[in-house]
Amino acid sequence: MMNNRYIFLVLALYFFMVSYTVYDIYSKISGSTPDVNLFEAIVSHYFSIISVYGMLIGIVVGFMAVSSERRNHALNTLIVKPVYRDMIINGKFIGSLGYLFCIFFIVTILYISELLLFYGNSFISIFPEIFAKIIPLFVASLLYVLIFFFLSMLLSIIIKGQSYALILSIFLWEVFKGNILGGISTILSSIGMADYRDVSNFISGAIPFTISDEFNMYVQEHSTSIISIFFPPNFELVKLILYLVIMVVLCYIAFLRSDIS
Amino acid sequence: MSEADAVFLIARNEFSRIFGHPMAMIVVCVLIVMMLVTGIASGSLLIKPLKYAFEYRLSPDEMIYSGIGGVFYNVFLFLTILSLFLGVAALPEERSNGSLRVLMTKPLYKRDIILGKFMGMSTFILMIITLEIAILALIYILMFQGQGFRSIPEIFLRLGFLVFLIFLNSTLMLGLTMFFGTLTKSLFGTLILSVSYLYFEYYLQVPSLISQLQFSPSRLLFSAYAISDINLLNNTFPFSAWFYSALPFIILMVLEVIIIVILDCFMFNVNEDL
Repeated sequence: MMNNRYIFLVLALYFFMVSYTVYDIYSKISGSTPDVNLFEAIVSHYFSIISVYGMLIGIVVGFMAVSSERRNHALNTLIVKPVYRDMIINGKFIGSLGYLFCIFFIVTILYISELLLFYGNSFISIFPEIFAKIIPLFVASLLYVLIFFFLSMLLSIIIKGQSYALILSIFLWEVFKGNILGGISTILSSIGMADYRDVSNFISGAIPFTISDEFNMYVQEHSTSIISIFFPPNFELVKLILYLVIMVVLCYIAFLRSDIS
Repeated sequence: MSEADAVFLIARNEFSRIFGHPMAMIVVCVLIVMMLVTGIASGSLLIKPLKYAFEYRLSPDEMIYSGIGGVFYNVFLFLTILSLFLGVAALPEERSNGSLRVLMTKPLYKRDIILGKFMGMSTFILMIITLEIAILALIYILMFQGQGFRSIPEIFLRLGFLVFLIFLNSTLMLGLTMFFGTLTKSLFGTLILSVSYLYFEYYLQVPSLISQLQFSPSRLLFSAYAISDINLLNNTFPFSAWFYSALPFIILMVLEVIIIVILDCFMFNVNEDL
């Protein structure tokens, strides 16, 4: 995948997004002395830059991992070789993880470089603090994107129609964003079947989108040690890992039991 | 067999290929459920409608228009995604199973293949849009037992144009993804280009950030749907007032669809060979 020329397109679009974001921050907070607003703006924008577009890229990469092999019948050849099926999944996971890691790493470097270019010395003085926040956010974004990577991979294993597998991946993303469950909670509370606050609290604590959002907020607001950032009181990171593990297990089961033809 | 017959045959085949897939009904049902849930919840207008109508002094006409207007964004976004992925898989799937090679050995123009596929998929999309809007409208009409509406034909006229606007936007997306497919000739490339376009146009809404991008599909759709206060689903303005102000945008959307289909045919002609 790294040899594919489309990585340049992805990086070019990320470059556009990073440049626009940094310019936007600079046009609002252009002071030469660093302040709290600048710090918050830099950290909060970082997560949204990486995760939203990254999630779509994750879906595409997850889909391609199985679908492209199935289309050119390479999967058939691969499973008659003396390798276990779980090895195939492991290999695809490690390869795709490397791809996503590289993209996110380059984007992070790009973001920091542009901030350095715009703010110069005032950015250097807050850089250690920002760096300490960027690491957990980088991990959280990667986990968040990997959930959708495995979701898309799972659907492309189960569903034979390529376009329908993709459509359902995006729709499930909408579900995970909470719009649909939020809608259901509104309806339930409107007809008196549930308390709106209870249901919405439950949903916000259970959906990857809100979990990652809450983690982002926590990291922004708390300047404590790396350990406390990685294990916040509501265990957001643990929840994301749990989602990922569930997706991985489902992928394994589906792939081991699927009929490759 | 005339050229029109050939196009029609390919379109019919494409339609039955999509519609006959076991997943098609599941996707359609998911789409309808999602739209209904977000629609009902966003306005809470289908729940205890008479209570709300009484509290806010809304007429049945206002209820139906504000209810359907509330789901406009979701409907068009979901259908844009649907069109995108139908367009993405259209050519690579045929390329991989070899049916495109067979098709190209037939006495057909290359443009007939593209036109037929485009028409077949567009018909499927039109059917889904009509179904979704019709279900929502019917729920409202049944809830009020058809009573109290100022003019049922006007409701159909306005909703018909709503379907038409969403259809134009969806076909534009379909044409664009087919263009990416003929340009890159690889599924990965088409997917990356299409998904990036979807993100920048509809999620990040770059055209609204850059004021020069007046002709972007999403901007044209929103401009045609509502010009200042004159909204397609606002019955305080006569339908003709909306129609005359939206007409330039509708013409531009139709032109964009025609241009993109011509580009698809041209690119397929140039790029695709045995």
